[in-house]
Amino acid sequence: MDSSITTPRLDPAMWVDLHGDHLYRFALARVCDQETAQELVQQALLAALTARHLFRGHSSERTWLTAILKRKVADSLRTAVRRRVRQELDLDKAMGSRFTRNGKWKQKPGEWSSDDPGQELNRAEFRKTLDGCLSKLPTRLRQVFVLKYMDEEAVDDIRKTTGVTATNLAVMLHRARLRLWQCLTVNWFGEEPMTPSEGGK
Amino acid sequence: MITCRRAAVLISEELDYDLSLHLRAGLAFHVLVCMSCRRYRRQLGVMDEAVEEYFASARAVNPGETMPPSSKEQLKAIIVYQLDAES
Repeated sequence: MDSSITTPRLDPAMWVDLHGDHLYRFALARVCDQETAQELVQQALLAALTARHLFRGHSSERTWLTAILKRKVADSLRTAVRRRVRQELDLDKAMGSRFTRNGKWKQKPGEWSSDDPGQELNRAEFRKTLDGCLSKLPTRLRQVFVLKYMDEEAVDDIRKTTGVTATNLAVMLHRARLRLWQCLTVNWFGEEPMTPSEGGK
Repeated sequence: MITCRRAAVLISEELDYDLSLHLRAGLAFHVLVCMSCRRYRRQLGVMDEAVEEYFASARAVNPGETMPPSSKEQLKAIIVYQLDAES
């Protein structure tokens, strides 16, 4: 009680009411699984509770809590990715390749109806397609994107902290991109599947 | 000359870090003569920017999403319990 004069005030009893939804959305956007998101918010708030004497008031209560949650989310994703690297590599072999035995495209990339991102209308349309494709992406592949893009994790950093080799990570990102690209290609063309002529034989 | 399969890997990798001069040259030559990989490279570049933007913006979060009330109550109870235990 005496320390409250020098220590910035935190009100843990109000955390859930004040920041619960915000933190939940933060976690959910990254892990895409409601149960895991709830679990992570709980872990973060309990960690914050234990560490609240370390709060110096340099940032707002919410920013401080979010930073703690961010670390919990990153830990969780790293563990998940580490576990899945081998699985993913095996799965790829089983799924077959988009390339022939000679390493050529089985189906050649077609022209996207708009490669020009400068056109605002096409851009908005493209974003919509991307949103749809990202949400349909299998969790394990989405997680790789989240790690790379969402919190500006440098790829090197992921590699160090996950203990996966550079080669494996490159393969994971490559597969995730190829998969997303495939989805965009199919949906960017609309309902029409790619015709052989567009494949550029 | 490198295969399209190999080129596709390099096209992804160059988005993450600088390739060695040797690999860069190999890829540059390949896309010079291969229209498919040239397209793939251009489209992956467009996609990469869009993905980056997607995660940077709030679009990845559904603004209507809220934490389930039962989960909130449970968490509040745990926090209050912890606070009581400390005092």
